[in-house]
Amino acid sequence: MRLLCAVGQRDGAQVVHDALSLVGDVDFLALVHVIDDRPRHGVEAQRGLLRRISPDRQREIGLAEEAAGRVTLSEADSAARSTGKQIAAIETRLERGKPEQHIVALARQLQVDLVAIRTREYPDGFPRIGPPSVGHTARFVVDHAPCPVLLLRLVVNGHAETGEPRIY
Amino acid sequence: MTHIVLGALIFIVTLALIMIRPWRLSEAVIAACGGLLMLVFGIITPVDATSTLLGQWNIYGFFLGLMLISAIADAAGIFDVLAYQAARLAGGSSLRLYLAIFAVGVVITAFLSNDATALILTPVVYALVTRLRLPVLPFMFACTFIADTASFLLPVSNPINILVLNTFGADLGTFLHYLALPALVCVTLNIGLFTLIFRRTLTERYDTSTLARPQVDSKFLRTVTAGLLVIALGYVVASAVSAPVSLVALAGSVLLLGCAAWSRQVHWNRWRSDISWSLFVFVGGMFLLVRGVENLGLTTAFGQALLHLAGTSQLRSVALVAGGTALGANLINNVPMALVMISAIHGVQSPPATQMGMAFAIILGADLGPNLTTVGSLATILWLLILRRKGLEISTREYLKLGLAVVPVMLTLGVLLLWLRL
Repeated sequence: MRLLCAVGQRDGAQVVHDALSLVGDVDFLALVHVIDDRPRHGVEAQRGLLRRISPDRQREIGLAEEAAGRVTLSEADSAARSTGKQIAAIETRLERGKPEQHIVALARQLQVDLVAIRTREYPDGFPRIGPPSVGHTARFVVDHAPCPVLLLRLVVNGHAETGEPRIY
Repeated sequence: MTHIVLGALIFIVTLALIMIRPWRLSEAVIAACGGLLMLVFGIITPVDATSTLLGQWNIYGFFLGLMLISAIADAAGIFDVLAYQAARLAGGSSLRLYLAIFAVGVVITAFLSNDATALILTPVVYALVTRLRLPVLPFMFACTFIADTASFLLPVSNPINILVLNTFGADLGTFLHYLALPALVCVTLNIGLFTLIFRRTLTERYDTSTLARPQVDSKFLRTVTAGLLVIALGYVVASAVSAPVSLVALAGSVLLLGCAAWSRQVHWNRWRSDISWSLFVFVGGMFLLVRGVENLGLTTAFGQALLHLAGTSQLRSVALVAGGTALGANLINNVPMALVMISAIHGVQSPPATQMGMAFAIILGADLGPNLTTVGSLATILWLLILRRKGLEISTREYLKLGLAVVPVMLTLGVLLLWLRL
């Protein structure tokens, strides 16, 4: 099987571990992390006294994003190798742009049989407005991927009162 | 009568063009054209124009000094070191880091102006939290909001404060008497509200061992830090004795240039590009434009209309001025809006306490108001992104309702506290 695993900013190792434990033999594994540059564009659009953020600072942001992306992919790669599964080829890809579009495009380009993706990033974060089921990236991938999609929910630390793990 | 119609038309069209910016025309070009038209049609005389422009030397000097100081402080790595120390002291807790970033934002805004926080601290914090792999959005909201909310802590925290104080002749004591309490309450409210909104995201921890110490020239950093402390002290003393703060800003920038030369860290090209030269054209154009409508008696009429609307109620007058300025600041830009309001309030006869209350209400509206625009402009990009991440497609209108809830609360509280000081 050819598997593409979409890795978010955090919990990349967990996503890879969960995906590989659920699927059978994997011949090819693509680990993909897409730097979502929309928040960055929002910040760069800021204007002060008729001036913008300096090009040096913009470059620094880009470098920080790439450094964080490389760490994320490295963790995911280590997690894939530590599962003990015989995977013939592991490819890591660091992309920049809209995550949902890059994931779908890569799934098509790499001719994968399955895409594994977290239902949403930061499931416990941001104001709780609306349904907490599937995020917009995962939803787009489900709607547009050229192959089946495995949605992985996240199990996080125990509930404050009951101690039971929370599943997102 | 023709003059009045023509002057009003030039003024309105210029402001509308600044708001729309057709063909991505610079605001500076538009404002300069508006000012020139006032001159061409004889609404202001060349002598009047010259004295108006020269009379505002304090604000030009302050702008220049402020931008140079920020640029040199940035080159010395002050912002990077402050953000690094905040992350180190927070000890891996994203909540503590969030509060520390707010604290850094308040200090930078208070002494180096809102512009330094919005344009220099924000990208530094973005890079820091990205490297720590924490969610960036709560931190970006913290930086962009606190830049405005903390900008009426001191006269030098926002150039608009200087414009108002110049005209109404108030010193640091008066400024603090009226605005210290509203500023502290608004800053606390801002921090509390945002911490509450993002509390679930701020439970993440980060590994402090991954923190990279900023690469800075320690001699340059130390001398510039010492220079900044001297400048901060100079600002306080100058504001206290009603001396022109531009002298402190300009002398301070020379002092920091000396520090840079001593540390062999002079980066002329970079600092030249860090200065927004078009700002001087923009402000100059706006001064001429407002002088034009002032000559026609329009700003006085506007001021009288405001007083008429407010009646004898001081609370109503403060609320009207603060609310009107905040709305106007979002429609056009807070500098022209503040200039119009200053001219209107200064041109009418009213009891001294009422006039002072309205003057400080201008500061409140012009400083806090842009947070609405921050919400508006970031809405489509950032907030909607957050909500989409939650799987919720929300319309801009619905979002704006959410964003608009934050600023009016701060503005209302600020107005009430200001009124209580009258």
